[in-house]
Amino acid sequence: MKTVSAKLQWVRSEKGGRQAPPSGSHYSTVARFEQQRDTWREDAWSLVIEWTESPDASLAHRVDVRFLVEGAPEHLLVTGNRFELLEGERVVATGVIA
Amino acid sequence: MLRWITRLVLLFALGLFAPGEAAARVAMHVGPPDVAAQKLVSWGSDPETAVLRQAATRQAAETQQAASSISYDFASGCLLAAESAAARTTLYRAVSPGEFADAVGNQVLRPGPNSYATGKFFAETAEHAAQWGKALEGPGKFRIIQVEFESGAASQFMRWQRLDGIGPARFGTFEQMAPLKISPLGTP
Repeated sequence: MKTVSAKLQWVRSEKGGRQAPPSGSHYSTVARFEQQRDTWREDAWSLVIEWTESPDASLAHRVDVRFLVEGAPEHLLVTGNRFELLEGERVVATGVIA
Repeated sequence: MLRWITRLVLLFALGLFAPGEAAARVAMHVGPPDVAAQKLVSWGSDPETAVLRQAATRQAAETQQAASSISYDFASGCLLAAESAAARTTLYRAVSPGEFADAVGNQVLRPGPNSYATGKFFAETAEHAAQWGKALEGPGKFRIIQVEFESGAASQFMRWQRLDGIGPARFGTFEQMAPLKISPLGTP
């Protein structure tokens, strides 16, 4: 399965994000790429995020990213593509493929 | 002669009470109260019955599991009663052993370590939940729970028509969630 590096920025709680980034070294949730905005509610895909470094003071860090399942639109995992991680309707992080 | 007088009195009485809403209203007030059942009542046009009709219609619209229905035709009025069980929606989750023990044992869904802070994802079928369980936890490393919600609450959850190419999924926030029953898959 295709895995790429990305820069992730967690949304601060006062701006609607989580109280803190997840405590473990990996996390999976629904992602929304810019290219998916029109069809996202009909056909969404989850990303698995693996920490390659811990979040810094600004809650940003480098991570490895892959889709949760086979058959996902891996063509979206290319340099410069931007995505959001969501818990329901709430955007908890934004990222860009490195 | 006495028979003719009796017939005239009966006809007069029917003329006073039988037509329309008056007869139906008497039937409604003398009937036994039924708090548990949801009823759809369609009759009359005064504000009181209109409010009742609106409330009953709203309840009936929220009901997905109609258990039985009864209808009556009373004089020129019309009384329809639809009785149903409480509307419930069952959703499914593949969970870790830790969440399984907490959810089933304490009948609660709450954030766990390294999990979503604001709510939970659900599948609409057990088969789909198992597919997500295999992808997220690995084969044999998860359990499936079935969670019953009031249908009105479950319909408020955010829904995707298809997630991960598997099937429909919903996300309920902890504020939206008030599970009625959490049970391991396969138990009554």
